[in-house]
Amino acid sequence: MRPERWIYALPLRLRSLFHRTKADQELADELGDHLELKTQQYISQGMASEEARRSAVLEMGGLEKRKEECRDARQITWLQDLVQDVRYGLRILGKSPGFTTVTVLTLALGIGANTAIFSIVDALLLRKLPVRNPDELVWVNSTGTFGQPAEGSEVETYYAYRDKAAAFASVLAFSGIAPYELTYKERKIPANGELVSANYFAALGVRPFAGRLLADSDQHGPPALVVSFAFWKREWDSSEDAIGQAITFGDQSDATRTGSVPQHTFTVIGVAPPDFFGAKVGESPDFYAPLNSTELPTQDYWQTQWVTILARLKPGLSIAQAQAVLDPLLQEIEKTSMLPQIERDEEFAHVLITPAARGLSDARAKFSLPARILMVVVGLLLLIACGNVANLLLARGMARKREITVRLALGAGRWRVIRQLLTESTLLAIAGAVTGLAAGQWTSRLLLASLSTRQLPVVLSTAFNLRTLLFTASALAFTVIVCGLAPSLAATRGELAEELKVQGPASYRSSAQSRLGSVLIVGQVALSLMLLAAAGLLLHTLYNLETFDAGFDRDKVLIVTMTGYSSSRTRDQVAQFYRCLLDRMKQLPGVHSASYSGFTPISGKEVGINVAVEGYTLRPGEVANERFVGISPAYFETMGIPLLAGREFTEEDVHAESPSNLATTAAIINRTMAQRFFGNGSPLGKSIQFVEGHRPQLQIVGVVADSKYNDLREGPTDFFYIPGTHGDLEIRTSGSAKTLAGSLPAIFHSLDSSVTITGIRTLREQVDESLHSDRLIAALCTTFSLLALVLTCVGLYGTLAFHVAQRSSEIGIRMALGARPRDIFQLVVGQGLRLTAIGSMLGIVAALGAGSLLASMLFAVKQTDPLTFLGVSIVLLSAAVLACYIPARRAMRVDPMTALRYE
Amino acid sequence: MSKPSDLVQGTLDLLLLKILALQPLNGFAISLRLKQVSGDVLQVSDGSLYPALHKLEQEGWISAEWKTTQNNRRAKFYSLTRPGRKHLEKEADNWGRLATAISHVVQLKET
Repeated sequence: MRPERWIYALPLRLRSLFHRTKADQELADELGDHLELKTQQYISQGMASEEARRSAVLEMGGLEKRKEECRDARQITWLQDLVQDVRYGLRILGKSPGFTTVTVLTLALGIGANTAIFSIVDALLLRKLPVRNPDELVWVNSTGTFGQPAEGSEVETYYAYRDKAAAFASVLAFSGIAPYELTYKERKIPANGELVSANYFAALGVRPFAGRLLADSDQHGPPALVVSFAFWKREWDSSEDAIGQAITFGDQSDATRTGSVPQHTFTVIGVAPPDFFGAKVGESPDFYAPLNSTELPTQDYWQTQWVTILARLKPGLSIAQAQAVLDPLLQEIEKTSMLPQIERDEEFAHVLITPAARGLSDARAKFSLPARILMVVVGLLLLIACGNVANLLLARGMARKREITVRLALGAGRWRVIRQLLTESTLLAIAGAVTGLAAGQWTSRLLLASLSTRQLPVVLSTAFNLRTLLFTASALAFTVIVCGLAPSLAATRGELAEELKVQGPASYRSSAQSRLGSVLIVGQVALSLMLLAAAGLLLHTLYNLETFDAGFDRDKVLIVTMTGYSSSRTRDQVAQFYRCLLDRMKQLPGVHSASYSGFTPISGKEVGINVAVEGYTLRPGEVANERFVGISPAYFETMGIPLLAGREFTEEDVHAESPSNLATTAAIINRTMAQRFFGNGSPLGKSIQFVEGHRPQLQIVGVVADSKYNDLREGPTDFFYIPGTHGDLEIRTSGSAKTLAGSLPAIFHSLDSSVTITGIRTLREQVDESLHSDRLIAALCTTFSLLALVLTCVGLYGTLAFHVAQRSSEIGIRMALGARPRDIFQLVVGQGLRLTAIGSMLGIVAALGAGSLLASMLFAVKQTDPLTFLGVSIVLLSAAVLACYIPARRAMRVDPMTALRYE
Repeated sequence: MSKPSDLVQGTLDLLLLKILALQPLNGFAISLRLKQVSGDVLQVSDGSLYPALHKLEQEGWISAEWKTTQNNRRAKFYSLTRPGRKHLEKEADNWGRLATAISHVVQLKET
């Protein structure tokens, strides 16, 4: 129909829909009017009034029939039926509030859990960056000998690309996010900043929310920065006054004291849009400053010298072509690089371009698998919830059998009745979805908060968007089809004549419907078992990770991190400070030993270097890139790492006289390294040489047991130790860590007032933080699987209770014929447990099949772990027995006389 | 009594649109006018008149309005809409072509 006609037609349709009575009245008026005029016409022609009226009606050919034809012309019967169905459905549901509440809550749980997890999956894995044409963006990185992508690019590489590369339509760079301390109006504000190339916002196509964003002129102009929307709202209460304000970096009091630190004042020039979070998903800088800001008081080499490069390729250029074109340029750049040759070969030999429409993300790498697993878990949960609702609707359908039969007998089409029943389940599902959406929104925010750790704060926007709504809508449609269709088909099946003969609801039994109910229960049990098994395996993994011997003593070691001892201090001063510090620590009550090291295990830090080992020739393609750390004497004693041969470092090792910065002559290696390079021979006395740089030889003086360093899941890896001059402090204590922690700041202050403690925690706490995502997914999986178990038990209970009610006369007869209550009890429980057993069997088979999804999340437990499967089967069976018990008790109490009289 | 099938399929709509193109009328007046303009050749029963009118109204070709007649009665008056007028022109053309074609065929000389 052309739009113009709708101007006339649409109001009519709406009128006949919402003012049906009025429209009908007008129709009656119109036709009545006609009859009257016609009658008068005939009378005036000489007919008797009775005769005239009769002729007029005859000519019309049946008043009601014509009215119906006119109504049909409105073409909205289906809509009117729908309105009628909805009204009727609401009335029916309102009449049984208990049923409605249980169903809506069950569906809300299923849909809400799905929405919550999906909104995180969406933000983390699916959504594209909120920039202009995100599909054009590529990440320009490099790779080398082993095909591993580099972890960043040198800032010089970016400038060379910007000035010389013809393959890019635009190219931009940004540093990693780093913490700063800002001073604004004499108030200190901690803030995370990102350094970005001057063309960053222009190249991404981001428009300012207020003020202006960085431009090429800011490259060398007066220091300027852009703040994020959230930061602006938090610090300036969204006031326009923020623009043009001056912000100072660094500690002013420190500056006035030493007189040496210059003031670094930046002007706020604009606010980034609310949805913009940079190019790294999961992070959210508070401010963006130009990359070349020499004014920034940062000592972080990584922040100023290493960048991530994004670009838009020239139109028509494929990724492979661009890589080929850029390779010579990169090799040209690397010729002047300060990096060691071996590092250049390993990471910076070839250009590596990857699409970056969805941005880059550390959080994505960390949570992508857990998020996918959880998506499956909540999907199964929704299936179980649907099963429950389907079973409830099925039971209701049976109870309403007479109503439905009568309607069918009176001439209602089967499809029409099914539509009515489907409308009811749709209403339930919509109510469930709305509740679930609200709850899901809240839950996802809660979940998001628990994703973040100190090391990796995760900031994602899970606000409503079209995709989430579409997802919820499809979950809803799925729910309606799964829970609504089968029961309504079942309820309208059967021979009318047979159904009408049946007297009273209690005696009604239909084997087909019971079978459907049983199938649903079996399916629910199977799915629950799968979820429980997944939760069991993850909990087992978590237990293993928390308790296995990682090579060091988690519980007795306290780790203290600090900052502040200034680079202006001499080597001797630093050495003196640490010597005094360790001495003081050892005198504290309960402290057995104390040490320091460049970094501590499972802290997220690692350093590796290429070495040559005496008497060992590398095979072609083999590398000896060994991880190492500088430590103090007594480190192994403090950490509880057993010394296998030789000795620990001594004071002399640490403070050997040498002109070089790393004056070391001794080294201690771990068992794996000893075995790799020396086999069964003794490594003691052999030497290690750093391949790059001019460092003295290291002589191996000891061998220690293996311990985990970077990750609890890592296999045995080479590791060696050299004497170190500074680092984080480790204290081995038998006393309370808390009391000890309380006394530390004062001691530190008394030794050197410029040193501040940045963290005190036990090694266990540090390790536990690395298990954060394991713990989170285990907890969520357990929660969801227990919810699934509860739903399944409710379903089992409901089905059995309904069966008992339906079969009460049969039970009565059995009892009258001599069955003991115990037999009846066994009959009911037996039925429930049979279903549970079949379901568990299927569930175990399915869980074994699907276990590979979990495999990489597990630790020291197989995906087929029999103990876990036995455990969850027992949990499931016990819960099932409980669910069967109540209906079985009720069956036992059936009074044969009452039951038979009812018949 | 004549049946609607006495009319060529679809021509009732055309007739009604044409009548309403001359002036807005109520149902009864339309039935009188129909008889009057076509004499005894075309007979439209009252029974098929109203459903046809309602269909045209729902299609948006004509619109209806309750008005007071000269003898102070309220009656539903139908009038042609703008899209209805276009539709009428198109249908009239179609009809013209059809009628010409058929009369040509009918007038073929038998040899």
